[in-house]
Amino acid sequence: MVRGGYMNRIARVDLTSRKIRVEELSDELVMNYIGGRGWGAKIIWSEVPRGIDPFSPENKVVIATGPLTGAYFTGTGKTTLCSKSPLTGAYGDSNVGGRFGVELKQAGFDALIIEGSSNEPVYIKVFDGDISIERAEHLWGLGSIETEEVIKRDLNDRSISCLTIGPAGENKVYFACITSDFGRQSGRTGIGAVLGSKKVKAVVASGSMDIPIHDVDAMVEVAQEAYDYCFKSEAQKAWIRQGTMQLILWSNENSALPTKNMSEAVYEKAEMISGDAMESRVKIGNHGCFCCAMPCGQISKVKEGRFAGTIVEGPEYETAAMIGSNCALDSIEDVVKLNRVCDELGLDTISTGSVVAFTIECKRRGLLRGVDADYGDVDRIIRLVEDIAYRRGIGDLLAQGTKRIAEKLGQEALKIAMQVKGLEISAYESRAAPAMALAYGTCDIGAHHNRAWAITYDIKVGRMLYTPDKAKWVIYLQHVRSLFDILTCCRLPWVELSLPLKYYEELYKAVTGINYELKDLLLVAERVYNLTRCIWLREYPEMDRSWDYPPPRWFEEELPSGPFRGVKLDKQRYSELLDEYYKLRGWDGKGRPTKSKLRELGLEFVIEGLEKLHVKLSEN
Amino acid sequence: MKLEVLEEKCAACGVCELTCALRRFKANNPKKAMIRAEMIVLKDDVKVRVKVCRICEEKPCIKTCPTGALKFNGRWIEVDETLCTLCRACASVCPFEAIFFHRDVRGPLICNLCSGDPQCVKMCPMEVLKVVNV
Repeated sequence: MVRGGYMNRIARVDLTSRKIRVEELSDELVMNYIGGRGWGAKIIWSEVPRGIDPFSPENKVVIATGPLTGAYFTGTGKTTLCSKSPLTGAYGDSNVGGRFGVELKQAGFDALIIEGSSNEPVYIKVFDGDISIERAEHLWGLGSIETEEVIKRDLNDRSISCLTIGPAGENKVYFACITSDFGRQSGRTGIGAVLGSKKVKAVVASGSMDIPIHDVDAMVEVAQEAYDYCFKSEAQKAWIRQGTMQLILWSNENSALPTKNMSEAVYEKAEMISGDAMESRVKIGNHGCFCCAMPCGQISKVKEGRFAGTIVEGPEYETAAMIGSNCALDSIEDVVKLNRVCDELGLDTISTGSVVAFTIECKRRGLLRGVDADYGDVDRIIRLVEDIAYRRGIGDLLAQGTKRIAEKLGQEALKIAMQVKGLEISAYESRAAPAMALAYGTCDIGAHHNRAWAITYDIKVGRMLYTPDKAKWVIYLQHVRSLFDILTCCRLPWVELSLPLKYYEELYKAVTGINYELKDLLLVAERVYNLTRCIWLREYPEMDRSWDYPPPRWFEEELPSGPFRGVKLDKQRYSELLDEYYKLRGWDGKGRPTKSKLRELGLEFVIEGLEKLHVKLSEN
Repeated sequence: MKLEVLEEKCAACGVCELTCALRRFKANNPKKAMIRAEMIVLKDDVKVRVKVCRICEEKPCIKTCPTGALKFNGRWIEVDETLCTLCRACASVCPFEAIFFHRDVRGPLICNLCSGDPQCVKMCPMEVLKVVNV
């Protein structure tokens, strides 16, 4: 049997010794962790020592594809990046679409592990089996998109794919992102800053090798059925038209649109920054990730006014909400401009929107001086964002993210610091959405929606309910959704077009030849979720259930407006929901996986590792 | 028949490329395709180029080929791999940059409309490609 879907090689790029070591992909990684964030979690557990500074040479960046990356199916253009996050000090990952992973695989590698640190700026070039470390002095200081363009020009090749960082990554801004293929970002958890600390300006891939497939005919058959399914869907057309931007008005109607540092969940000017505003005022085209059946990426261009001529890939919902409504911008043109500024600087727009709005609220409450930016003031906000990226003045503090700023400013600031475990909350205000609040509370990278977009379930079954089914649903999502980051393909056809999961099961079998059923794949996802939880425990042996709560604002302040006016999260009932979540997961009351659960998942080595650190795990 | 290409609608996802390579070579390898979609980022604009044989009037590739490896069969350009010396003269004169090479393949990669039933047309989510009869 030929095992398909893998190039069977992983490369270690050691920047300190400038040595590149190629290793065969182990059966353990293939069978127990599959790919993507599965590999990231395993490699970080096994190779990144506890307690190290995320910016030290001991930290590693894992750039991983999965068996489905590059295969013939909708949404196979994904790559996952994993590292010890500077924002959270624990496990972090973030995936990116486009084409980078496909090029990496066609160049002969399933994953790169970037280790050590360089003294001079470099970029890593992966071309058809060869990996080299190239000088990048001439790129240092350039914007993310600029960098990509200069590399393509220098190499005289437009078909290559790049991961780049901007000045924010160079300056180790804790929420610096990585940009790919013009406008795609691996946004969260600050891995751009980790690359910056290693002096890696870019990773460039180009390959022309075949990706081995176990059964090509079976893959083509399942793919064509899936494409037909997507093409027939009405939702597919809406996704091509507006992409994630459809969600602005949906979120606003459902009282979930972050507004003014999430002090409100309804924005009176939502229409000005909505999908309709984008489509009618700035949209000029689409950009799809590799082989997508519903290319949702939007290309926008400001057509009039001061920012005329500004182009950006996007905006995406998360961006328009976090730098738009959350900072009270009132035109789509302002959103496009600020989006482009963030993209070039290499800043995650979600965390940036949170930090800016939090800064403004702290200023208004008299908790922070030396800030002139205010809600809606795009010019001053742009200046503030630049100060953050270049760590000028107050920007040096703000560059450390919401949690660290709040710790400096004290109790009142901590209550309105919209983060969990150090990661800024993404764009769903959840005071009237207990399942979504639980999803944020228990997400394994800090508060991010991508592991469990549970708000649709809150809307479906009841906004005020704290019933056990909500905990069950959050766990289900945390496994299914992270499975996509393990197989390393896009989840949107499943989420938005309801493309049945059986297609992915069939595709996985056709591509790899490995006879895993969906339940086996979900078991891997559960293994990985428990492993990432244990990485947190290893870093923070003191971690307990108090870490799994959203910020006090959601428990203490009532929603001031909108259909859920007067609503806030109920702490007692949230706590009971959390108990239910732990019980269903096989975790103890402190939120620690039990030994029997870890054994059941084949994670005995984790028990050993944690016990060495005197982290007490209960038996059952 | 020939392909009509509405470049301005293209999202550069590349599903046409992989469809092409799978159909022609059974290879999961977009770099073996006879069609390519490429996004070009300018200072204040983004354009996509779709590179595929348009069966142009002049057919400079045929005229340029020093060994007579290319001929027009009345419907598409045929390649005689036994005559091709891989000199790439054809690619250098193609006004649509639509002729490609791959080290595993003997001879240039030029769209042959899947012998009259182009598969890429069916797979494009943006309806960029159309078959027109001429």
